Amino acid sequence: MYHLRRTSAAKTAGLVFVLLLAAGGLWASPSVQQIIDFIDSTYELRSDMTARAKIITKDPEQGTKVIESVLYRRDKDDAFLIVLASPETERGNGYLRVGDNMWLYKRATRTFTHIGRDEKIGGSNATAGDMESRKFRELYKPSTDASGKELISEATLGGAKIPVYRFEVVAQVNDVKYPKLVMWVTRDKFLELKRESYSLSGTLMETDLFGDYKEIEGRFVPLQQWFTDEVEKGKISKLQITGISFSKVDDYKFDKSYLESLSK
Amino acid sequence: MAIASRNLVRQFRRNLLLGITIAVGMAILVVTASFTSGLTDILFNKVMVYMTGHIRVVRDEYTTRRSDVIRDKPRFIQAIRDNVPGIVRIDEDVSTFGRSVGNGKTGMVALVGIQKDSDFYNETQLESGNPRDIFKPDVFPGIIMYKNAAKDINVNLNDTVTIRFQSIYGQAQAPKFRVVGLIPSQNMFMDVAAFVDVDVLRGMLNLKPEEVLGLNVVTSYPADSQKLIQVANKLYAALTPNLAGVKAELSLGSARAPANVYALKLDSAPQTATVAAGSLHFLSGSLGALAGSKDGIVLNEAMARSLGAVVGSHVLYRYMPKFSADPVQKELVVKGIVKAAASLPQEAAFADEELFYQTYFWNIPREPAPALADAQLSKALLLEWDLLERSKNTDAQMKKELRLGRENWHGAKVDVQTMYETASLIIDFQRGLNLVSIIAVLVLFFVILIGVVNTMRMSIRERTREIGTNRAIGMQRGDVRQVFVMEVVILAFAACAAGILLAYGLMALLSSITIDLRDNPFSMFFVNKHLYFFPTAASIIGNYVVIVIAAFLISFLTARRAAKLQVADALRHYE
Repeated sequence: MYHLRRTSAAKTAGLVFVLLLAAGGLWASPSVQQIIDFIDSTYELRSDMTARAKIITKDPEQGTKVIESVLYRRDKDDAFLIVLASPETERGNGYLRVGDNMWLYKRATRTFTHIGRDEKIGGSNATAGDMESRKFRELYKPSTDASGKELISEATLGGAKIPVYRFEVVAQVNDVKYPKLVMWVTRDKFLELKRESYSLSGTLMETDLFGDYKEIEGRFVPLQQWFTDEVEKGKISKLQITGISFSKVDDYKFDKSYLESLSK
Repeated sequence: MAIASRNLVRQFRRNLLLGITIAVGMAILVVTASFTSGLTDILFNKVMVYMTGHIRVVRDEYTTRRSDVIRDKPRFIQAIRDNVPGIVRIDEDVSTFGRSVGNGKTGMVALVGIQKDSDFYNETQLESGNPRDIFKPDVFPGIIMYKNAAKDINVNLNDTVTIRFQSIYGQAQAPKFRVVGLIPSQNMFMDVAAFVDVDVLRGMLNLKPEEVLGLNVVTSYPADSQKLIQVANKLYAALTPNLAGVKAELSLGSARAPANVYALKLDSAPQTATVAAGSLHFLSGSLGALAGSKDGIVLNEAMARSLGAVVGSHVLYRYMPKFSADPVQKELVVKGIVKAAASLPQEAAFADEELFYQTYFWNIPREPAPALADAQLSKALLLEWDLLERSKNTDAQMKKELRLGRENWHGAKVDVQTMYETASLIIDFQRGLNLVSIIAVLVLFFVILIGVVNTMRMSIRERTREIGTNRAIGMQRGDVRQVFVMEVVILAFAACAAGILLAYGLMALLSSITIDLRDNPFSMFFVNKHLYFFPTAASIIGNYVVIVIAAFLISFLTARRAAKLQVADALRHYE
């Protein structure tokens, strides 16, 4: 869900790409695999992180729901903690992941339940699996046509006609939610702007847009993201990220007792 | 008999009233017994059979996500056939919960896969459409829905509906179906179900042909709880797991070696390292290097020598899965080499359990590795599954589920359940109703007997002089008693017969009333919005016999008093 770029690494990698292409005398599109590898190498968080997130979900049948939360991430073991701040019914509930274990904490019953990747966060479309930072290249590989050619093309996006690369990837493991993705990334910095997610049977399930990229402490972060449900028409979620910091997060926050203490 | 019959007519009004009392009592008994039999029939043969069967076998798997899936269906079915007598059928559970998306509205749905030879077609009456159309090749596969559920999402016959759910691996699915049939709505529970071709649903769930979510066994003795539980216990014992092991091939370059690969529980059981250290003596590398590794392996020194492998070497691990022609292959890194030992076969190799969670558990090997002679080391190795303890009732079953939800575990757990555990609340409710029925029966018996006693005492009192006269002309005590007893028995016989006819009339009347309890949980006890009666010959004859015998006994005891009257006293009696 959170797409971050380390500016210096991105600039270096981008420069390397340009130099290689110039040295080869070709100004060709990068390969999908190169983009995937680049996303992994620059996306990988190498520090702790704190952020506040606000998800506004509009559902034609259930109305508008606003979920606010605080997210903490610890780099050394990829642990994360999400504490829900609103609505009142969810306040104090939390999601904690340490190692391979993910738990849901319910303030009302003061109990921890082991959860899987597909557990929804506070009733939103976001799932616990979205919080994992499995390497993109471990999960997906480039789609190819009948002749084995990667499906990548140059395109423009939106009214501003932003130059992008459009490419397709398919899952190479079974346990991903969307076995096929179509992605649009900017041609200069490979910032992801749009993603279409497809089901196992090829149905378009969700269209995601990423915008308002800001450079924060050397990283590019999309502060606004939109998730449009393509099956249940009219259902849209908007994610707003604020208060991002990459300072060290205290270890005690990744302990069950911290979540419990917030309920007192 | 003739005297008794004539006496019945002589005191016609009184006997008629008593007869009506007995007939009404009998009618109530038959109706009550038929209603509770009907409830039992619905519960055991309609609700439970489709929910869980009478015995259910499930395998809860948690590798990267948790799901119920039996990977080796033939093996489990064989175990069931070998250990469960009186099998009516074994239903394969291929189903999922999801959301139905119609025209502007969404709803909950439980998709159920139906086989071509299922009883579904005989037992389900469609209001419209053809049930076999779910198998008809079409642009979209067919679905049969309950009418109210279809109406709730604004779809009708021949409309398309999207159902979104997840495969057993968590992959999103949102296929479209065409509504080919509508079933008249039964109750709020059953309305959630929708039916599709089982093979279509199996593919959408990403289940292989030999995989199934659970096995529901329907037996011929659902009401015999003791037998059912005994049989389930026997099946439970038969499902004791073996070691999880793979007969595989390891290769490094052109060198190849057969290997029996086992998984050490280094992550899930902290004492494993200590146990394993007793049997595995490392020449290079360590157990610590293997712990938590998804691609590590420890080799026997002889195997390492034959492959030319050292710590850090990359070997190719390859085996054939049981139900696929495509081999499972993965590159592994040698994390250690152990000394040969008498108890350790040359082919034995050890991986961390993490490797098996994404290979073995998703692809059962065609050739499993044999058990190890080293019993101590075997304790440190992963089993095919863990057998969960049998639950005594629903409460214990729920606690077991909650505990599994809270614990950190991976692998597979197998559970054998009977409907007495999974739905003991429903069965307790049914037993409660039976108890109420029995109490009603006892109260009615009491009322009937009071009536008989009272009528007899009145009759004896009024006919005391007659008794004296009969005794004076030579009738014996036994004959006097017999007359009175025969009167009551004949009355009871006739009244009970009338009561049975009355009961059938009542049941016909009550079951013709339409009661719409759409959103009420009690609607599950109705069939097509009507009360359901299931009279059985056993209960009718049983009640008949009991009433006649009770009437006989009461009248015998009461008539004894009449028979003991002294002739002179009886002749002198005046009202």
